[in-house]
Amino acid sequence: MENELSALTVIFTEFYYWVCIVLMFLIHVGFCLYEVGVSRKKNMMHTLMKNAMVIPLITVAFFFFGWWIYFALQNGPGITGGLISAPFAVPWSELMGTHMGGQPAQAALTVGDTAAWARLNGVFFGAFLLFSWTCASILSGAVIERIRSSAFWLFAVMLGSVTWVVDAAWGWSGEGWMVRLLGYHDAYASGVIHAISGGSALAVLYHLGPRIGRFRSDGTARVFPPQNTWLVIIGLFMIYTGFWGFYAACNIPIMDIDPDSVRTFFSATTIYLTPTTLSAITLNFLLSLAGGLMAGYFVSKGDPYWTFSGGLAGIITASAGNDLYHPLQALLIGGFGVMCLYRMHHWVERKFKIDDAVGAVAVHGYAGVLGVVIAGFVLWGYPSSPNPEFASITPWGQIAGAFIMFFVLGFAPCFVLGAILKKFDMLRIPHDIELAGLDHQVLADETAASCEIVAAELSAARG
Amino acid sequence: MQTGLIENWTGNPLEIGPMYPFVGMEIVLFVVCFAVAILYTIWQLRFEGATYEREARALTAKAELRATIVAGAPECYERSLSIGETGEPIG
Repeated sequence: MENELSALTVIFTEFYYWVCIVLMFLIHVGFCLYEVGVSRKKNMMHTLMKNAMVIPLITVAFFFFGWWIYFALQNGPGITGGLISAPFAVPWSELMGTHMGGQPAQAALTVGDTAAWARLNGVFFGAFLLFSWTCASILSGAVIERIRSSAFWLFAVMLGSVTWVVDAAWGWSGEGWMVRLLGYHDAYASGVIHAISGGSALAVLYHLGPRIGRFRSDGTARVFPPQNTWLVIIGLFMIYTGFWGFYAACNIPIMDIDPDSVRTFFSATTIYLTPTTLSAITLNFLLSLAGGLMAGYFVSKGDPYWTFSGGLAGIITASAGNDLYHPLQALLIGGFGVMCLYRMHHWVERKFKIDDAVGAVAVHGYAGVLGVVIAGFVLWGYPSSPNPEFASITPWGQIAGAFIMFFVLGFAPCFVLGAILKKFDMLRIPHDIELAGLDHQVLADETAASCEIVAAELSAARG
Repeated sequence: MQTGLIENWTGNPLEIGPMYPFVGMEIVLFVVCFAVAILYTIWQLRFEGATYEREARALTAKAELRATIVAGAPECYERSLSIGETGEPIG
């Protein structure tokens, strides 16, 4: 960095993503609190560990191949071109380690690679990795209290380190084939994070089946009350907070957007390098949250769980176009999405006996699909990219995109893996353990330890 | 003995490349870590399966299983005896 302007730009960008990662960490904290609050006491510790271990397992897998997939597969491959070389993103690259940006030691890298990536590779990697954790966490909540942890972690690694990264390469990058050919637009990841995770959750739930006792013999669902409503609500507030980092991380904070490079005009951009402002997305975030909360309260008649989940779903429904919407459009779209998904959740639950413990398929999956499709109508004709040769935004491009996210990359891979795991009896915990609770041994050991201490104390009191 | 490429911090910063030790060993490191990750996954699958098998065996006696279920929610035991499958009171 030879001059102050390039130094400020690069180091500001580096710091910007670093702060985003810290904020996004709260999403995972929130999901852990939420899931533990929803699960029954007899399953609490296993529920926590199942989601907490997502952190190391996906991190390692994402380092091994997820980061490379994002850059290498933007053409499909085979749709708009072949595999793209990304020597800075392979796990043995020197640019994955401490580097000052000088002369590369590896022949595959150029001086241009080291100058561009030495300070940004790690923070970009971190931001994408936190999206991966979010995908897996969305799935995690839906399947609590009956999935084997090892089965869940296989799904989590596939979703967090392969399928979502493929969808990001295709539809959430400056050169992805979906952007190029379909004009796919999903600025804050309605489809690329939420629809794919919801689709994945639906496939796993289909194979997994409901928890014992979830449905009465007449087909109606029993309510499993949260063991701690406050943990659930605090968890959702944490997710809201982390969502600010999520939104910010979807932007590039500072870039010269002048197309001819004649002038210099710095702005924040979306992942597609189209201009936006942090100010605009702040307004849209807040108004779509408000729309979702109001609709959730209205449609559920004040149920706290659905009101708070409605807030989240409101943001998710507006996210695809929140870089361009007017705040009042974001408000209406957020509210409309929640009205739809609440009814869809209960219809699917009744009709197909899908036991989604936290409503993840609805709050993320249906809201994500709706968000992508709605953006196609509201942003019809907008350019999807600064590249004038790319297709513009259309309803059919967005509908095709939503189908790819939810079904092709979300539902289908998890359906296949779920079928394999089910065939080998590796998907669901044994029947008696489900009845007794995953933590029954831990609880018994704790009771025995407490009794021993009380006995010792009584003995001391007598002595 | 020197594990890295940095000999001092007084040169031209623009010429500093990789700063971590053992530059050139990255592929070996990757292979070792990948193998460890695969072995860890196999261990985890086996560990969980064996744990469930052992615990399920211990719960096989119906009386033991009923006692464990009741211990998990003692406040519901009395009421569960007096309500039917749909939650309606019996009789």
